[in-house]
Order: sequence, then structure tokens, then C-alpha cells
Amino acid sequence: MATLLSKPINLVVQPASTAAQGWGDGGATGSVAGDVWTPGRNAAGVVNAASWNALPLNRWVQVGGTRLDAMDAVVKAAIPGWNDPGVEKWNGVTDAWNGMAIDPAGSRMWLKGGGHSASGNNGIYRFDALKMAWAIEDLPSPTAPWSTAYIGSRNGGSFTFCAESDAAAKAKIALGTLQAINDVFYDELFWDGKPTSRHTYSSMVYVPETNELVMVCRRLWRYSLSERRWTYKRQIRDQAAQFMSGENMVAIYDEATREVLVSAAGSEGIYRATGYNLTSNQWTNWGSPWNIYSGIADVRVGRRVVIVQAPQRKVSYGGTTGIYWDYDLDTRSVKANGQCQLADGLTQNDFAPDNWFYDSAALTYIPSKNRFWLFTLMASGKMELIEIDPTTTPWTARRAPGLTGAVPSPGKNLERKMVYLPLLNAVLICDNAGKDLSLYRF
Amino acid sequence: MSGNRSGTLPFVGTVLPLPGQVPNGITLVSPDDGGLAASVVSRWPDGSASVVVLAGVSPFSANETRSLRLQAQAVPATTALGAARVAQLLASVAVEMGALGRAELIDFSRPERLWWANAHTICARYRLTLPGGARLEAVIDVQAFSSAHALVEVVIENGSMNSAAPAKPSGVAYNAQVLVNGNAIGSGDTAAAPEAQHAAFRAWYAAGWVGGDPGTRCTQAHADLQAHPLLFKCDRAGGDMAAYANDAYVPFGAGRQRGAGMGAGGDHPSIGPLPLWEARFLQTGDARAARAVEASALSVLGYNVNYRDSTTGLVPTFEQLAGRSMQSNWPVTYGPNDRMSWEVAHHPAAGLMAFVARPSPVYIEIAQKVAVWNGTWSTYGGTATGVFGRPYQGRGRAWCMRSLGHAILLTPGDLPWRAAALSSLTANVTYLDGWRNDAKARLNASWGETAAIAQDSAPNRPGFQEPLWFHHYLTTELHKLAAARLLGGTQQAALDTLADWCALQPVRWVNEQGNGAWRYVPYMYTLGRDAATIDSMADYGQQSAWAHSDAPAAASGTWMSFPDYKADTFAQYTANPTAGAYYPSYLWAALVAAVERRVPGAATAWAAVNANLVNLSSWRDGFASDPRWGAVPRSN
Repeated sequence: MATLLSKPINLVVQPASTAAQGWGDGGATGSVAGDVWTPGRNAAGVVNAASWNALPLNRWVQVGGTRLDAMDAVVKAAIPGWNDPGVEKWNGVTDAWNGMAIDPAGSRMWLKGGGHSASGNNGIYRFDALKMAWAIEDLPSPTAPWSTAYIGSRNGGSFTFCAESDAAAKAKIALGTLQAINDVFYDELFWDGKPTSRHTYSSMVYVPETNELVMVCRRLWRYSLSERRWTYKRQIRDQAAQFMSGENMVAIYDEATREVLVSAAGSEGIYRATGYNLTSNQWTNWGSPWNIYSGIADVRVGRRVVIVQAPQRKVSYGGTTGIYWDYDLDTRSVKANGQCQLADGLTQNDFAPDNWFYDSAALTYIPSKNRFWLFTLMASGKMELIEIDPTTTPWTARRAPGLTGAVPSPGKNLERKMVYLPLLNAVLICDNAGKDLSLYRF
Repeated sequence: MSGNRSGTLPFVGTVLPLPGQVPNGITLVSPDDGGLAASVVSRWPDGSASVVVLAGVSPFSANETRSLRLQAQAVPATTALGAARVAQLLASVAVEMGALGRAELIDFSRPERLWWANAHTICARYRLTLPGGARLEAVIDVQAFSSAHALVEVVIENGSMNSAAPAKPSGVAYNAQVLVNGNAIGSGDTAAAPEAQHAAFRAWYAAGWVGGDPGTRCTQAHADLQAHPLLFKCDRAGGDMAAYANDAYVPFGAGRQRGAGMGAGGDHPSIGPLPLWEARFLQTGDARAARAVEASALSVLGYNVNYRDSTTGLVPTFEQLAGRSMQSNWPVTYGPNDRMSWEVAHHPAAGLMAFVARPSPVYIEIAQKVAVWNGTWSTYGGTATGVFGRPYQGRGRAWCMRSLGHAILLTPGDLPWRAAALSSLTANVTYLDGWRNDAKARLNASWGETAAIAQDSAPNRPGFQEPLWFHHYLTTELHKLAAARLLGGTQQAALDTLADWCALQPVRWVNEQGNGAWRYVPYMYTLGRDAATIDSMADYGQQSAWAHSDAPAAASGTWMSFPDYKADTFAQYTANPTAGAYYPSYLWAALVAAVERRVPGAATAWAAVNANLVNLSSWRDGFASDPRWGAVPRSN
């Protein structure tokens, strides 16, 4: 006969937290054929562990069924009559100097792009690596209400600039009534107030504490992933005349201070660096140590940010063998800075010349190897994967050795779309909307 | 359990009964699940169960959380699963190591050891020698269930040594996959290791399910766990544990541990009675925090703490290692500090809370390995192996004692490791008693070096400077060990006496400084007037007055602190508005220990603290997000 214990003991049986390993336990294994991996998924769309485990290690594969332009039918089903007037359409979402916000813990990435004359698509697209699938985070704006003038941005203009919104903003400026927060500005669509498409570079970050995306490009924009809507827009440092535009924005989320730190380079925008505290909603003073013209790629490594300006053949603008900054977010100081030494036959003349003003390299870090991977443009006009060894002084750059399989050959505007995901111990590359993603599992 | 998982699923969990709660001959059953089966893994000195593994197989609906009440009952006559159950579910465990070759285990009928077995689960140990010419081996633990499920855990080690004539294994490079029944469950590429090869004494881990991961996590209710003497009652409830939802083990990765610079100064979430993520699991019982506990405990395998006696196939005992230390005749590496190297004075607890999160022999052995590493680090000054002597620092002694206690609790009594570890614990009590018996210890405080050798921590400052928080660390851990009653007879009495003596320090600190000077808790305290002989004054009131040229602002106020070597005035201190990993919180935890021990004056001191800290409630709110030191007295 059972008796009571002197002190009660209770057991709790609860669902295990399996989100991270996250793989499904279904039987579908998919296939690996000719360096194309077709994932096997369970009923919830999650890739099965059996399929993931079937992947070869240390080899590039393409992930079948991961073209972003497959979202075209989904968007058109949701918005009858939707038609991106941009000249590159879906490729303009990926290629017009656009990068991703990354959630390494959740193995997710978000892409918002377009801009220039390439694409007016201002939707947000999420790639779930545990599903190896795209999803629409935020539908693009319906195109039916758009003015002829705005649609005409395809003819050498830019979909980033909406003349109707700009006129409304200027009218308010003339009256002295334009507000810095949540008011109209040229970088929003006149018809629904959403941000226009734009070259995002690395200007978008994921903020887990508030489950939102923050974009600091033209203005500061906040998108709530919980509410699935843009919730906040604000002029850079509250001044309409000053905007974070230019080129080569790099936004960093400092989770310790709850700040977004952003730098920009290029030919316009005097506010090349600023901070913004997401808790107090105050601008903060932050200066970027990499305050240079352009051409930088970035990656978070724990509490550090590593910035690399890709090597460039010296022609007339001071090309280098690659400059690096290893920046400590805790101390807000540069721990290491220098110019790479090139090794194993790699020379400065192998890289794109400096008068190409190349600003679209991608950088990631592989912890298990303690190496950075830099995908950058070469003098041949093609991109190559460069491995950077941070254990030497100065750091050493060489062609990434031993690449096998379906080695990616991206178009030149890769930006922050080469991502190492720690839970997968793998690198994913999103090159072009018309191509499947590339994956390298360590 | 993933969102869509349902069906008849196995579950297995750990219960840590209090001493005497589940006497010998009694087992645990549940009125809510008649099929629940229990196995006793280890026992208290009085024969009652100290660690129990409970398992069941029940129908679950998707996302169901179920609470099971436990009751005591005479051990029923049931038939436990045998090794044949393992063989029914497992055809092979193989390790493919590229050019090095392949090794495979196909006979599961003869395990090296049964860790536990009951009607629903059996946990069996196997080992597999791996190719490569080095002393690599796969240590395989299988938990097979009465349902068609089995969990296979594989630890790949490079640390096999004959303890009587130890020689350091060579490093080897490879890229390996572990397969169960032909399906890959994990891989390890030594290029990711700190030395870019599988260096001696590092290890990595892979695990996978036969029959699919049931996705259940079964744990003792956290409020019950907080009554355990080796743990503590949390002062504040925890918040959202979403930050831990995605923690995952990575071979040779440090997880949330300090991958480099374990011995570096300053706080780190791994430091404390429990690492932050383990304390938050204790605080909440949240499955996501449990996930972090497991992932970062497994990361300890990547450190230089893995060794296995080649004759027994087990972690070597202190008896086998008598007279050995890493500085002379035990070839385990220590340092360099820039790469996943263990360090005694800052090392994390690892093993106990992971075993609470999910029972596994891997966690028992992680706790043993850590304890052995600590005990073999140094015998400088003439201490025996297993005694945390002269170079360990006061805080190192605290953490080493804690880790030793955790390992003792988990280790089954039939393993010689446990008896040898208990002897080590006894020897450490004797060693620490040196301070209690030393005439210099007028203020119930210990100091660095040895009891006989007092070394001033700031010779350029007046008097004898000592970080009293080392003593606070020691007080909290000795209290836990004494309360757990791991020893018996006169040895336990000696431990009780020592713990009481230590606990008098925070009590005297408060009661002897009625002017409120107790609120001023510095990094370094001037424990005495003389750098060589200490020469403490008769009480803390006099001693603090000697060290400061002014008086505290008021008897009541906030906690105050000073982060440098010595404050000459109370005016130099600044307010400590929020509890956390800082000096007032360390004192707080030691005072809680004193209250629980009911040492003379403790109740008075506790009342004074509660009455005179003007912002006590808001200060304690800091323990919500950082509960490492956030204990509150248990009414036991």
C-alpha cells in the first residue's frame, strides 16, 4: 500500500524543448543526387533528422526547392493583380545590394530588398533553415494603387523614392509640422505607409527580446514579428535632412545595451554612424572605427563584430590586401586591426580593381575552424571564396582550400547573405532568387 | 515533445529524495501512473535512496504537460528489463573515421555495466576500441525502454590510461560519424577541436534515438528540488527562459562555458554555486533551461578532463591516483588558458543538474571527471591527492568541494569511486579545519594559502587584506555538504562543526557592526592589522573601525560596496542597488546558509539585515534574472 512521503515529491513530464535540434523524426529522407539535396520533411514541413544526417559533410550541395522566386505564385494568390514593375523582379529582391537579418539561435533569416530600378517588391521573406524553405513574413504592398510616376521608377529611377510621399513630407516641412516619429517621408509608399523597397546591405537586424526586425536604412524602421506589421518609423537622429542612406550600411544589435549600432559609407549621408537604444527610444552616440568609403562586409562572432574590407587591386584609389577590424562590443574598442597578408599564391592583383568601387562582399565565421569565409569579387569578374585565418598576425587570407561539390558561383552582389548557422554547423548562401540556396555542412 | 508528437511514449526522469525520505526497502510509485517504475542509483549513508531514476511508458497527447505525484511503497515484485531488451532494439553502433577505419559493436548481450534497470528501462554500458593507433575509444550508454525506443549516447574519448603507470595518449586527427543501426546520429571533426586534432583528455559526444525521439522531458518539480540540501531555495521566481530554447551541444564547442580564459578575472555566468543556466533551471523547472543545462554540461567533455582507467574501464578513483598530481606524475594537461582548459578557482558545476534534467551515465562521469581533475591538479605544499591545498585559493576550495559533493551524490555506491571520493571529502574537512583551529582566525574567516601561511592580498595597503567573498563561497558550499549528510559518524560531526564555524562569519559581520558597517561589503576587507600575522581585532566592529577613518552614514541604508583593494573611508563605497554576482550578494548567500544552519546569532543577523536595508525588496528582485546567489532560508 502506498503511503505519503514525509515531504511531497512531484514529477513533471513536459514536452522537451526540441526547437533547436529541431529536426523532424519522420521517415522521409529525401535524396542527395549530383550534389543536389532534396530534403525529406515531416508533416509539419520540418526537415527530418534522417534526411539531414544523410547529407555529406564538408561538401557544397544545392538545396532543392529553395528558389525565392517560387514565392511569386504565393504572392499573386494573396494579392490578385500584383505585379512587380521592377526590371529584375524577384532577382531584384536578392541582388540589388540586399542583405539579411539573422536569427542564429532560431536558424532563421529575413530578406527585404529590391530598390533602384531593380524591384519594387517591398515584402519581407523568411528562410527557415530547419524547414529549408522560404515563407512570406510580410506580403509586399499591392501594386494596383501605384501611380504611373512611381511605376516609372523602373526607367532609371529608384523604387526607394516615392515622390508622392516626398511631396507630403515637404508640405509638412514647409508648415513646420513634420514629426520625426511615425510621420511621412520619401521612403514609404504613399498608398499604405510601408517602407519602399531599397538596397538594405547589412542594415537589418533581428532583436530576439522583442521579436522584431529593425532596419536602419533611410530611416529607422521597426517590424514586429509578433504583430506582423511595421510598428515604428523615425528620422535618423530626428532630422529630416539627414538620413542613413548612402551605401554599405552595417547594423549591429548589441543585446547587452539593447542598442542598434549602424554605420554607413558611400557618397552621401553625413551621419555615417549612430546608435539607437531600443528600450529608451533614444539616439545614442556611437562612432564606427571602420569609417571608410565603402566595401566592407560584416559578421557577428559572439560579443565581437568583425569587419573586413575585401582586398582590391591597387589602381588609383588605394586598394589594399584586405583590412580587418575585430571590434569588441563590451569595451566598444577594436581589439585587432590590420591589413591581411596574402598566402598560397594569392596576390593583390587577383582581386577586383579599386576603381570598381566594389561593395558587395559577404563574410561569415566558422567557429569549428576558427576561420572567416569571405566571398568577394575577383579581377576575373567572378566571385571566389577566400579563407581568412585570424590566428596569425596580421591575419592571413588565402583561397579557401578543398572546396568540393556544387561550389557556388554567386553573382557579384552577395552582401549579408552568406550565413553560418550554429545549430546546423553549416553555411548557407542565398545568391539569386532564381537559384536554389547553397549549403556546406561541416 | 515536438508540437505534433503524440502516442504511447516513454519518459525517464531523476528524483533526488531527501535523506531518510525513501528508506531502504521502499520505492516510489505514483497514484497518477500505476505503471511508473523506479530504480535507486545511489543511497544516503542511512541507506535511504538519494538518487532515483523513474521511468514510464504512457499515452500522451500533443504538447501535453503532466504532473505525477509520488508516494512511498514497499518495493514490488516486478521483472526488470535485461540486456536482451537492448539487443532487441539495437543491431549495431558504428564509428566511421574516414581513412583511420571503422569500428562496430554488434553484441549487446554482454554490457560492461548496468547503471539501472526496472520494468520500463534499462541503462547499459558498452565500450568500443576505435582505430587510429591512439587510445581512442567510444564509451556507449544505451537506455532501452519497454516501448520500441532506445537512446544511444556515445562519448568518444582519448584518455585511456593505466592509472598505475599513466602515459599521455597522442593526439589524432579525423572526421568521424557515429551510426546507430546504420543511421548517422552525429559527427565530430577534430579540425574543430582546440588543437585541430583530438588531443589527449578531450572528448566529444553524439546521441540518437532508435524508434524516434519521444520528445518528453521528465523532471522533479523545481519547488521540490529547491528543498534538496545540495541545492537551494530560490528567492525570486524566474522569467521567460526563451533565451535557452535553442541551446545545442556542438562537438568541441564550449557551449555557455568559458571556452577561453576559465581562470580569468571577473564574473562569468559559469561561476557560482551553479552556473547561471543551471540556477535558472532550478528556479523555473523550464524545459528550455533544462536544454541549456544539458548542452553546456556536455560541452565540458571538450575540456581536458577526460580520462579512463584502462583496467577498470571507469573514471579512476582517488585511491588509484594516490600521490599523483599533474605537476609531477599524472600526465593530464593543465592549461594553456586560452583554449578550453579547466581551472580550479573558476570552474563550473557540471553533471548534477544535467542528471536532474535527464538521467544519463554521461553526466555521472562528467561529475566524476571534474572532481578527479580538481583533486589531481596539485599537491604543492605536501597535501594528498584529492585535497584542495595551498595553490587552490579559497574560492577554488569552495568550488572543488561543491563539485566533489555533486559527484559523490550521483555515483552509485557499488562503484569504488564513491568510497574514495568520500575519503577525499573527509580529508578536505580535516584540511579546512586547520583554519578553524588556528589562533589567527579570531573573526571566523578563512584566508588564502594555508592555515599556517597567511598571505596578504594587498601588501602595499595597511593591515591584512583578504577577499572575504572567498570565505562566503566556502560557507555556502560547506553548508550544503554538511546538510546533505554525505558522511557519517564522527566525520559528519567534523563537517558540521566546520560548516557552523564558517557560517558564524556572516553572522558576526552583521551583529558586531551595529552602526551599519555590515552594509559595506568590499572586494578586499582588512581582516587584521598586520600583514604577516593578521592580528584581527576582537570583533568586526572594532576591525572595521580600525580600517576606516570615518563612520558609516547610518545604521540603515542600502548595500554598499567598494571594488578596489582597500577603502580607507566608508565614504568611498558606492551603493549596490541590485542583487547579482557581486560582493553583497555573496555575503547574502552565506548569511542564508547561517540562518539555515541556525548558528548562534543567525536569526538576529537576519532580522537586522531585513530591517535595515531600505531597498531590500527591490535589491532582491535582481535575483530573478540572476539567481546564482539568490537563496532564501528554507523553513525546515
